[in-house]
Amino acid sequence: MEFLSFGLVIAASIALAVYARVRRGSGNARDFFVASGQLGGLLVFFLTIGETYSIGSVLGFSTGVYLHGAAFAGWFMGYILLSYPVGFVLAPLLWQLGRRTGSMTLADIFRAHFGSRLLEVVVAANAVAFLLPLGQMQFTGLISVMRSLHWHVTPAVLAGAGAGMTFGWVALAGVRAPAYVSVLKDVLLVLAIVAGGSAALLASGLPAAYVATPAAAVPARQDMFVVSTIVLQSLGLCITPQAVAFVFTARSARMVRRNQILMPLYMLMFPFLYMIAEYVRRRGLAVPSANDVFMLGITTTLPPWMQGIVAGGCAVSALVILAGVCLAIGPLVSRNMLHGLSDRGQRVGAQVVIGVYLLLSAAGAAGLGSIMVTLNNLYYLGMIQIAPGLLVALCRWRVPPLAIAAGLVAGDGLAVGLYWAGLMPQGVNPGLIGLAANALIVAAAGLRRPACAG
Amino acid sequence: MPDTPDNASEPRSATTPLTLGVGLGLPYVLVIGGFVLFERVDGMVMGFPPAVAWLFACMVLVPGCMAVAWWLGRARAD
Repeated sequence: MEFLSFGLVIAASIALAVYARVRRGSGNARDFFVASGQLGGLLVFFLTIGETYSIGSVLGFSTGVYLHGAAFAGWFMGYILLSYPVGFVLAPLLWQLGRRTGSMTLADIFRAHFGSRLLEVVVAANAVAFLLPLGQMQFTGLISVMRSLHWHVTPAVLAGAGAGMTFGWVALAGVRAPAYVSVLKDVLLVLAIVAGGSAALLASGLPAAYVATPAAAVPARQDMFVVSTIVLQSLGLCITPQAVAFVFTARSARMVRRNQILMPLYMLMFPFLYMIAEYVRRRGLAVPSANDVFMLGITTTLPPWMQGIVAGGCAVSALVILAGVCLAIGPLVSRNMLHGLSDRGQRVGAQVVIGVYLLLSAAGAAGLGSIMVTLNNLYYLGMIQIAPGLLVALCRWRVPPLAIAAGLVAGDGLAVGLYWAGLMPQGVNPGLIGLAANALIVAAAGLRRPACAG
Repeated sequence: MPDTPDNASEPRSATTPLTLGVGLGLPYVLVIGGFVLFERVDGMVMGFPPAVAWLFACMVLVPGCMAVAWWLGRARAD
């Protein structure tokens, strides 16, 4: 039964991708990568908020709460929650800057404002390098979900099928495909999480949920780490290449800002995720591996047909995020790193890059590589280093492009170096220390010449 | 920082120090300040640790802050 409901979800997602192709515009690179900036409020909302209910957050949040309790929940919900006020301020400004400069990618902004080919390549290379592990993460989540249903499919076949489907979506309709499929994915996941959480609460019994426990002693160092990580990631989430591209798909800045107001309300499903993790912990259920907490809660509380829907929602969720990452990486390479390609060349080049990226990510998740897992920890450490240069462009300050590039490279080096060395002075996240060094370099270079609005 | 209207027929929401304070600063104080404060409080609130329950409450408080900032920005723009 679960196989049938899972199949229906996958079929519906393919139908939506085909519908997205019907709705596509001119078919040029701008339409392929950012839907010609013509998406309506609802589609932009679901596209932008996708990461809140990605497979990583659904599986990761349940696992984190199961293993680490309230401290993990605080960090995880804190940074997502605060990314919306950051987006409330930043996203409309990014939209306006994108329209003014005709940008399609994050690196386009740097080329347009600073007029530097070198900086454009440095920004694009930084973004691509730190985005690489996200693909493997999605495949790992997908394999984990499928394993919970005990179907006899090898990880390699699953990853291959996922890669093929994602490539098909992207080739069919560009960014419109994940936008339309996002609606299905979010409706399914919200229903699944609410159903699973409610069933878990009923199954664990209300009195058990009201047992008072003393608060654990929290060292100041841990607090500092949680707070600095929340600050780092709440800002970082808004300036990732895919988040910036999603902002560019919107029809107006007003719509982008209004959407941000509603987004935190969408997090009201997190209490249900928390209940599922608590249910698994209190029941003492045997968890085969760390990522299996959510699906274990689902498979022990919901009927088979609902398990199929949940698994389908999770699978589609992984592939939607993957498609977003692919559509960010593709143009960063074909448009910004390989300069001078024609409009068609950019589209075809991006599809080749996406194909290679999907193959490598699928192979990594199927067990052919382990370095990606470590690289994933560096994601926000690298992404945040784009912030000083972006702020300079948004404020139209005049800072030499070489200083922006030097700050970015120094910030990356310091953050990654501290991370590899296991050093966290006073518990501060290494990414924030790198960002401080980066900002100092940019500020020092900016102060050496008069800062005037353009 | 320019905050020009993207569509002349739609009223814009201006970005001012006040809207920044209410729409951005206040959520940071509520989320981070509240979490650090409630992390040290014993007991349960509706079955959740107080710090976690506070963050759940922030899922309503934070959009409230942004809605007020939006309204303040529009009032200013009008």
